[in-house]
Amino acid sequence: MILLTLGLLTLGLVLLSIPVAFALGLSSLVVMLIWPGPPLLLVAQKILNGMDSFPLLAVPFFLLAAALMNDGGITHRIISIFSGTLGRFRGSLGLVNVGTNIFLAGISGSSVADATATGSVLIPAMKREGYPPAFAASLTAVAAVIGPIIPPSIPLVIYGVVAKVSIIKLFVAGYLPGLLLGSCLLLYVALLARYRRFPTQPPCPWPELAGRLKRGFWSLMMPVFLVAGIFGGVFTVTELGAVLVVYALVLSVVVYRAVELRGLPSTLRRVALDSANVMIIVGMSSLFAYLIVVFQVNDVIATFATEVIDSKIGALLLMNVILLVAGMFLDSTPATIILVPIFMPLAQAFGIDPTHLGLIMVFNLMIGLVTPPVALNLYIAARIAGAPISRVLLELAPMFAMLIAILGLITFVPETVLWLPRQLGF
Amino acid sequence: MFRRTADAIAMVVGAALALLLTVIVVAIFAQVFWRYVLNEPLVWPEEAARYSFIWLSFLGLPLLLRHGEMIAVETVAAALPERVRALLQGLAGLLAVPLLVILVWQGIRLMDVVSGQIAPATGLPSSLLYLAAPVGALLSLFFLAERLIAGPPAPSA
Repeated sequence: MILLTLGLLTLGLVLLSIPVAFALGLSSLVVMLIWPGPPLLLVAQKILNGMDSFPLLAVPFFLLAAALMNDGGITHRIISIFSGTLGRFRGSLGLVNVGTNIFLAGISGSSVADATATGSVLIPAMKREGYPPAFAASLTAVAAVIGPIIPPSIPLVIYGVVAKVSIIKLFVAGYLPGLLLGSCLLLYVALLARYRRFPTQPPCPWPELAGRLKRGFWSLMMPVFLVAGIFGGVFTVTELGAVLVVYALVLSVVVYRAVELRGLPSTLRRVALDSANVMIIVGMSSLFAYLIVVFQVNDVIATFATEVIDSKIGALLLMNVILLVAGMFLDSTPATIILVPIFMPLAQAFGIDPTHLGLIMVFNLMIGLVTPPVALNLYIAARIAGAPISRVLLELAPMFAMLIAILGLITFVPETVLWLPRQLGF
Repeated sequence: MFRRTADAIAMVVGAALALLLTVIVVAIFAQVFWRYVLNEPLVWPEEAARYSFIWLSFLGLPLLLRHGEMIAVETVAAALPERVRALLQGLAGLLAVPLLVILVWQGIRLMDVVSGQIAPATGLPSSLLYLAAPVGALLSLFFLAERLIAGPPAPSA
């Protein structure tokens, strides 16, 4: 009963376009009023406790770094280097799009920010060269999915906080699945480009390429420093975020002189609001998740599931289906906070590694960014491209199949996720 | 009159948001610098940053609410006629009221519970952390009232 009330009420309110945070808070409140038990004081306390966490400070840092990188022309420099090197191949701009996204994934923590940043430059350019707008849109939306799988990653931070798993270990575990997805996309574009006769660009002469490399050198070094910082295992995720912000700040203000100090307060205000938007949802989801535990909803689900399912494979399949559906409707933050307490007992019962589960969850929820009805990446890219959603979905279909195949691989071959962190001694 | 007061408050809150984010960046960068470069770890940055972040989140809420920028699923609403959508927006505001009222009321009670406690590193009273919730919720209620009385505000820059 409690499960039904919580679930249906939240879903109903969300579909009525009530803000997600309020939908979660209100259904929690209703449950607390119908089934007395936890005192109302806990409403404020659980919300605040959920938000009061040191690792979560990485959220505004990653958002701020991404904003500075875009304003500071870092994204532009990276795109120019990639088009200089990949331009001579057939389907070059498509390859540049994926390449840039893989690269941005290694310095930015938010998929939607990546989709906006690469899409606003590359989609118009792809259209000019004669790519179908719908293809440009769907490719950008899918390529941006790589962002939160290759660290830094806001969804992995949230998972790590809720599941009490080392975030740095999750970050290390994200590199291989992310690079795998990136390589598959590159391959797909290269093959499709031959078949559909996508255009090439005139080769970029070496001196020009050298100049671009020189101008973009310190931007190119960013993911290198980040990999070193993450693999070194010395820094906390919050510290990494702060260093990233200062690096992006020095680069965009002092070195590139693309960001003026006068404009900084408005950037800070914008990023603070974006962070608050995530954090309010974190708070409300924490209250919601607390009720799930206190009313033992998660135990009921776990008991039920272990009666029906008798294998690890079954459990993983069930979780994937739930996650894919959740990702279609919910933002990744509330979905993670609510589903982790439900999945944890199941994972324990079937011996699923929590780091493995984290990557499965984030991969699933990021696929949600390109699956309607709620598909933020897809809508942003389609809007930039001016392409009808139905066309974009048609172009998306083969790439979606690829996403599902890779999801299957990382789900059922845990080594794809766990090998790298083990090699590095995490 | 009401509109001008609301605009002024929104401006102050916006400035506070930028300032709080600056404090967070400076604090954690100082922590990194002192720990890894000077080898003299500081104790205050983590607490200062956490306090600032809670305040930032709760001060952000009223501004997000004012401009209808909270994360929401607009797929269904987008398909509905304009009038129904406006109605839904009103409903969203109305439904937020009980939640916000409870945040103000229970937030103040929570401050009572922790009164006298001191944060170990900075010496700030613990109730200062919890004060963020009632302040943010009160401001949110204020901006909801603004919407009701003076209509939706001009879009922010």
